Amino acid sequence: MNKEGKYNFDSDFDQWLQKNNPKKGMSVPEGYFENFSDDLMSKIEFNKIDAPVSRHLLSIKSKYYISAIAASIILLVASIIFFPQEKDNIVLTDLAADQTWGYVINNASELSMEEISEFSEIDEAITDLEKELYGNNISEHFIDDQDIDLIEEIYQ
Amino acid sequence: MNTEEEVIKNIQSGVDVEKGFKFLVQLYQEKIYWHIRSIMKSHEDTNDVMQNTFIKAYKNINSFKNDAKFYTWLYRIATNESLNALKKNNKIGVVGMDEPEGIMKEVHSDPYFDGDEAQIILLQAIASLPEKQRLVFNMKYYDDMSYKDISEILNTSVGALKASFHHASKKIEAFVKSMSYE
Repeated sequence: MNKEGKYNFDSDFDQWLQKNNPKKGMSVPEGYFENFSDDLMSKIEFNKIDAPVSRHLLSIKSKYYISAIAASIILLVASIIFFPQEKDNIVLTDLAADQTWGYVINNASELSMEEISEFSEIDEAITDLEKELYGNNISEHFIDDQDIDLIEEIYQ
Repeated sequence: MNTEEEVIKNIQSGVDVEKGFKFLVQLYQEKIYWHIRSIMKSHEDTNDVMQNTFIKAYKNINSFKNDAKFYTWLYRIATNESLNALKKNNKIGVVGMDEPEGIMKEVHSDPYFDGDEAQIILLQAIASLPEKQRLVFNMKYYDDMSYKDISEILNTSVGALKASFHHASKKIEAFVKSMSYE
């Protein structure tokens, strides 16, 4: 900084960036890295490794969920616009798992996004997708097949 | 000493699982920590995300195939976990760390940050970038990663990454200049 309190960019901006690397101002508690692995190991249940799932089957399953979610949202919007109806007093979490997707699709106009997100299979769909994303041989075509914005919207 | 590849294969086969996983954690913990810290900013949040990252890596290690680099796989998990944590923080009303005003609040309350004004302005400049540009800039500039590795982690072409980095650099320069000449 010069006398007027301004930064001097006459020199190379790259140099300025390196000189002011924010990581230089960051620190960690003493002994953090020495102890981290031991702390972590105490929190891991070492008998619980998820079995690898067939990528082909997983993709189909994930696509099913994503398609169902997308269909529900489209129906929700369309129904609100074209067929305003009174809402029944049904709680999604009270329904059996195999009834819920059907209920969501058939009653889309009466459900809020919050109610849809309460649907227990949402978590399962996200877990499956997470496994796909963390598979190391993830391919661009898989990502292209997914509507990431939609998934993120539901996840939030 | 077993190679990293052998250790991973052993874990996947159920041999020396705890010892092997600890070896991997110790091998990559610092790199992963600083990558997460560049996104989360505070040590406390970084520590939470770091634990989740390694726990998730352990639970999903059978999905990893040895034809890819383990560390890019770990980086991908760390990146996703960090972004999810940021979104959750925003959802519960914490001022966003992906926004310049959130940075000031965060760094001033973090006992493990004692950076100067220029460093805080640079953090704000990086926080003002769109998500993808922010990630690319951090990984390229501060993690010193190759475009090829970033490409594997973010699943984006090298050409697109170079464009993102160029735009990010220009925006940061403009942001810093505007702050310093106010």
